Amino acid sequence: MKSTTITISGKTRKELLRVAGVLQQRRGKKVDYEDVIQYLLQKGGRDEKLLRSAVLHTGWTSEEIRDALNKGRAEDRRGEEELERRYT
Amino acid sequence: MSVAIPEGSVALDSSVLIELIGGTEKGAAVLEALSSRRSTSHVSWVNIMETEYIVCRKVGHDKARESVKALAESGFLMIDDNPLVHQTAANIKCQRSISIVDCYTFAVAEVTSSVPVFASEDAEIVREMKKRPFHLAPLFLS
Repeated sequence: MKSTTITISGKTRKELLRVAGVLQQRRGKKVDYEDVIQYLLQKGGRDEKLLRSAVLHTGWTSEEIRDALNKGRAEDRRGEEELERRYT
Repeated sequence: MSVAIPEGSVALDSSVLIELIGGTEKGAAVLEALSSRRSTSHVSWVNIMETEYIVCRKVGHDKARESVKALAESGFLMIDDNPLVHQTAANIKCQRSISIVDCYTFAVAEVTSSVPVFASEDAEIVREMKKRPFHLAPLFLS
């Protein structure tokens, strides 16, 4: 595999070494920067199962959602108008 | 239902997130568009907050928290925490008669050069567009 050089700050290097220590302990073998970055990239990746678990199937219709939003924003607007009246 | 979320970078309004969480037909289409990874979706914490309180009013705090947490941690949304987003939102609110939360949707769009996406047409936004177009034209899903 072709490799390349990247520049990172001393602080980031320290953090990578900290993660490397944890990873090394967990895996029971020596790890290098490649392993640490691969691990972090995987960890920071997208989790489709988690995304789908956010759906609650509330039985709401789009119209009901629009009404709920409009009601909330009307409450906010009253507060904003009161502030503007008082200070402008 | 076919929801035409553009490829590239989009800024999602709370209305889109609530449709997704609510499991509506439109929300299911947004979910598929997100999971197909055709676009990078940006949101602000203010839009996340609005989503959570609206969902909370429907299903209660615990379920709303759990759902929004899953959405935020799924990695499919880039939540913009840049001070520039707040400054841009304030500038938009100063000039436009639209809700603060909508200002955040437009601010995230401006800062990330994204298309602002709303679940449905909003009278306030349309009125403002007629007065003067926004830097980035909003997309209404219906």
